[in-house]
Amino acid sequence: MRLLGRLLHFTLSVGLLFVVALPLANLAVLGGLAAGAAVVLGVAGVVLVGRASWVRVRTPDDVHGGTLAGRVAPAFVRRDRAWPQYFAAQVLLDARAVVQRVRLLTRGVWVAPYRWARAHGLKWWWPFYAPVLAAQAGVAVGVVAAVLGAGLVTGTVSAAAWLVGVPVVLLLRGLDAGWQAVFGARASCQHCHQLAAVPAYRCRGPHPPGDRLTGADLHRDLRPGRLGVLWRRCGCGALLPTTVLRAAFSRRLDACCPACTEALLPGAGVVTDVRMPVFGAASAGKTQLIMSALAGLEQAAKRVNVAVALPDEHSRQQHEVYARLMREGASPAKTEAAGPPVAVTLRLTKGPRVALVHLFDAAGENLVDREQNARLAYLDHARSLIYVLDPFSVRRVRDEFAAGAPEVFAAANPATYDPEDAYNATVQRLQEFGVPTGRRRLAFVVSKADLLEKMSAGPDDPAGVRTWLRENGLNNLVLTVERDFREVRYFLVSGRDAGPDGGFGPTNWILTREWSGLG
Amino acid sequence: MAEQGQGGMPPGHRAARLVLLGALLAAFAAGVVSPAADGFTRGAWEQAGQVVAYFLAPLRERATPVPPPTPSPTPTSPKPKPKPTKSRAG
Repeated sequence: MRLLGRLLHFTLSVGLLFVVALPLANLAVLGGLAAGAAVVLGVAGVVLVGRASWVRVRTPDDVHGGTLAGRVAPAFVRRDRAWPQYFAAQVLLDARAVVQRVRLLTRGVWVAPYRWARAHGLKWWWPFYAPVLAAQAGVAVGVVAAVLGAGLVTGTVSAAAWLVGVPVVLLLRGLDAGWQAVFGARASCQHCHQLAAVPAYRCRGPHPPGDRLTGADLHRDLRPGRLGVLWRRCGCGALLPTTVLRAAFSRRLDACCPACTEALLPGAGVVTDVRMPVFGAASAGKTQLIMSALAGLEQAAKRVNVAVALPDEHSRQQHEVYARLMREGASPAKTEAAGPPVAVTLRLTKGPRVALVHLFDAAGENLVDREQNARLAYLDHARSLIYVLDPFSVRRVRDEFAAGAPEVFAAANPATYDPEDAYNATVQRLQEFGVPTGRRRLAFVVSKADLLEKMSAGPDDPAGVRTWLRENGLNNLVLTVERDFREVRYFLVSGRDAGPDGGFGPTNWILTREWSGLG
Repeated sequence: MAEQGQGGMPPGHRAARLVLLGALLAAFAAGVVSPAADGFTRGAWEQAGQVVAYFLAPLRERATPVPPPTPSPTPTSPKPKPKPTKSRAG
């Protein structure tokens, strides 16, 4: 009887399978395919509309922590705390979130009906499970196809974004670099004297005080890249421009030195930066030369309608002291060997062209000392240098005139260090630090011309300085100088003269080469 | 890495997500509509081709070179000179 019942059930089941279940299964497959595609589209919609709380978001803190792919140049230390560009990171997280959620749902589609059937003891109704299986298979195939399709679309859109973004990034970076190369623009720090092509920028957005202390508000590499092509979004929410050219004029950013994070002068990195380190032996007349150069530049600028300004407080104070000494005809105090190098900066504006002119002075003792001058970083970054030679320290002049004109020698306060050694100490230091002096220019200044004239011991005219040096036993120095530097010009200078015969001559020559002359 | 919705995201991300969603919907719509659109598009192209061919036909006929007359195998006798006819007007 029992066997008969089972046979009957089997016969009925097979009949149901062929008559009812298989036609239903056909429909279920089609429905499953559509449902699978709809599930993927729905989940993608939820993620992309922003309603999904399970999506991981690449935040500025993650970026700052180093989770964003790509190399960071050592100069920029690490990634800035800013939102990454969507197609640089977040798109992958979104895609992964969609796939994970869809996989969970598909798994549910497979597991839930089976558990339900087992829980309700429906094993005798197995023919009706065939449409369910067909629907499950349809959903799985639909999901896989839709995920592949969505991946293809996402990949295409991302590739298009990268194809447009990368050339724009390169173009903008090239514009920055081209501008700096053409106009000789760099960011010079007044405090540590380091030079940077890309200044760091402090965001003025609503940062908590902790960010200011830890430097989380600092953007060290504001160039276009993975954190934004035309704009970037700071971690505080402020929208910032990306290129150095635009950042220089942004009210939301303050330029800082990347090395010491002190504030830079306005326009740093965009306006022409002319650095003029003055070197030579102690008491050669370096400070006096700078004093007369400042006075001469100001006078000449007025004549040719170039606006002159002192952009920082330190330069203003230093200029005040120098101007007073020049008016009184007094000599400056000896530059302190224990103190830091003195830098005076002028901002010259000639129509749309702006230049920051830095004159660097350091104690002669430090310049000739190989250990001390290693710290003078400003020497490395100048395209032009000024070497000051005290003619009263030249042995032949001393031998010939010291006895006959002791009062002139007393007034000259001659440098005691050998001029050739003074030159070599600094230039060899430059070469040891990898500075290509062969690509630099040098203004060779013979100082104290007014005192030299009293003894009729100097060259007859400035053009004869080179010959005068050779005739007075400095032939080797002349040869060395002309071998070491690409371009050398000789000047005879009186530090008491605020006119063209003073420090204006060599400084204006350098200005003419690097920016624009003042007549 | 935080888990959050779109609330804390910058507008640029929201815009990019909407672009991506638009592209997905467009691709989906194209997939659904394409069988019907294919026939319509193909018909439109065929009609356009026929119109162009219609306008090009006279040009093609004019450009077809006329074949040179083939010489007859037997020599032809010279034609008799036509006699001058008198004009009625005199």
